[in-house]
Amino acid sequence: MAGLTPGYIFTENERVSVAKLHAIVESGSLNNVAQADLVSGVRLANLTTPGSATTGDLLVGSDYLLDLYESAAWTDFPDDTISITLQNDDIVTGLAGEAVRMRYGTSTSFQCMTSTDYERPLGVLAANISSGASGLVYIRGVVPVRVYGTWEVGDVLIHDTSVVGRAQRAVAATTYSYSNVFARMLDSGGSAGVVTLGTAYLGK
Amino acid sequence: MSATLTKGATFVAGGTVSATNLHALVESMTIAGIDRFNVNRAQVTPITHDSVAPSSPVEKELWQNSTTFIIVAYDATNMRWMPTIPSCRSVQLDATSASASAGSVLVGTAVSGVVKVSDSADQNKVVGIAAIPFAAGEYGVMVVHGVTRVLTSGTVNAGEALSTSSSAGLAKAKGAAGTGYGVAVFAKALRAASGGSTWVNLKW
Repeated sequence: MAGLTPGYIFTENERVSVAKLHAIVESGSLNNVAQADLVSGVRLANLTTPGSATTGDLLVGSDYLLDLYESAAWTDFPDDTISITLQNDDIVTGLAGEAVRMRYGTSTSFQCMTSTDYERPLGVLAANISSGASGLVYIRGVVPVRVYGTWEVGDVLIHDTSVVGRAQRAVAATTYSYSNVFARMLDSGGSAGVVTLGTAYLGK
Repeated sequence: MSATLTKGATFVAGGTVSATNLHALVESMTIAGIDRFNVNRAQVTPITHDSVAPSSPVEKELWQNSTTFIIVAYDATNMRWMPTIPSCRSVQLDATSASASAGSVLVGTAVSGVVKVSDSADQNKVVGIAAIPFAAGEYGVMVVHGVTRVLTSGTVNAGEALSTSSSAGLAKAKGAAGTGYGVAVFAKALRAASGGSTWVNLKW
């Protein structure tokens, strides 16, 4: 609860003066204003989890992300990753982080890219999806992507004939401007000749 | 400056100290100019809206930059501002970089998590926009994707594609968005601008 500290402290039998009476208020201070002191509808963001919360309350989480109190739980604000559910119409299991394309002539299924593809993928798989099963395909946002070889921050991703192991190849953005570029790397990493997961931003 | 308390009654020399006057002294008092120091920042945090960081922030205190409108939280242990929303990331500015202003265009380096302020026209490795000002070698926050504000040079019309300007950290118009711009285009303008900053939608 907020506190008011008097600006002047009287002692027993002390003479009252105009200056002292005025100072008791005007030299006083307001402190420790907290959520409970505010009217309904006015809120401060919490730094510690309150004993009781109201829908819409904010909490700065231990990861510094803002948490929103909704449906009786504290959750991070949702990322703006966009995904759609498609069926795997290929004969192989699609791997998490792998780029895929729409199956030609359908609106409900995808196929894995192959080493002979030379086109811009639809998106990247959110998880392993077995042949015939359905799952999420990321089409925008910051997502994990399977990348062949090494990459640097700012490199772009393409899927072309030199890619091995059904992964993408990061290429320096300074030298490539292919129309089939579909993502930009946000971290650095990888090793020559192997496929590892990197973090990329998908979006056109 | 903390809150100002103004007395609710004024006493005069030789006047009467009555119960009514004493009660009015407090009960008719007004409080103005409440600031962040009046808040119990061990439990809750106000949000400072300013172009510069609030002085002496405490752990998890919030700051909304008045150029980008991005809200960041203070990490008192590492003495740096952290992202509060998933579309932002914590990054370090390369030691050789110019200082970043809020809204500066940032490009990747060979080191993961380290970026530089753009310094030439049509750079290809744009990875985000500075959410707050921070200097070379310091950690700050960058917007990776979504709608945000960016500093611009020259005339920008809504709908135009943007690339880096020759002026450090600024974006310039590439004309109506279309094919053939390659990976140097990092955003599409959502509002017109003539210098200053404008809203954009980031792409890869």
